[in-house]
Amino acid sequence: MAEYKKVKVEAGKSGWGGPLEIQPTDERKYIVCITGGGIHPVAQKIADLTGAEAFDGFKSSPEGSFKAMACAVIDCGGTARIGVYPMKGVPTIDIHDTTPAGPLAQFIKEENFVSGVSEDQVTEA
Amino acid sequence: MHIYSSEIVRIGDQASLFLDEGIVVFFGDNAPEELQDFAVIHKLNEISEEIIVGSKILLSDANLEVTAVGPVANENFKNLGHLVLKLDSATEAALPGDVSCKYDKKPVIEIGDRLEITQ
Repeated sequence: MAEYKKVKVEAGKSGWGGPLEIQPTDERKYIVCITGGGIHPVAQKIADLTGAEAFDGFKSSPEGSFKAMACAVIDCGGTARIGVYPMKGVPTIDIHDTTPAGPLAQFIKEENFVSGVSEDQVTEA
Repeated sequence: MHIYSSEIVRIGDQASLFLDEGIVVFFGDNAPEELQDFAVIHKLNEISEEIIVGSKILLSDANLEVTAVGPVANENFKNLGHLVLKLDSATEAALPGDVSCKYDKKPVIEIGDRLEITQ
């Protein structure tokens, strides 16, 4: 049994939603990063502080798919990824300043989504 | 000038959630399975230029012309093969990832159809 620490993720100055508390578990143990260019520094910091594994979600899907994700870090422009991960029950962190929009907006809540996040908004809880 | 040329290889089971609202969400065929479910998937090829206002898009049987480009749209396309086309003729992108277009008709997209983007 791995011991994971909890982190708090707050919205950036022009962001929306949150704060979220991310607590990885043995079941939800991946900090999945779905951005261009590998692991984003925000995902890496969450991984470092929690002790969970940062996972490049654009190269492959973790075993267990959505159910294995402690959270998803995205660089969504506002329409698609912003809704897909909240809809599937995954706490979602957008590095861009987005607010709920698109056909899946109904699934995006302050309890499961936070945006405008940089490394400064990730702290130990 | 040539920007991008590809073909549609898959249409996700839930892509209609977006298509019904005049939004075509593209991902490349390297995208993770959980995103492919929601998207129209193109065979990822080399992207030679940025999409700008006035770029022409041939998608299936429809001719589109770009009317607005959001500030992160080209970055998403280049990095992830991810493109969000909105058939709303907007002259200002509503969201940072949007590529808004006017069109001669709404595309009816099927597997094997072409996606051609030119200047």
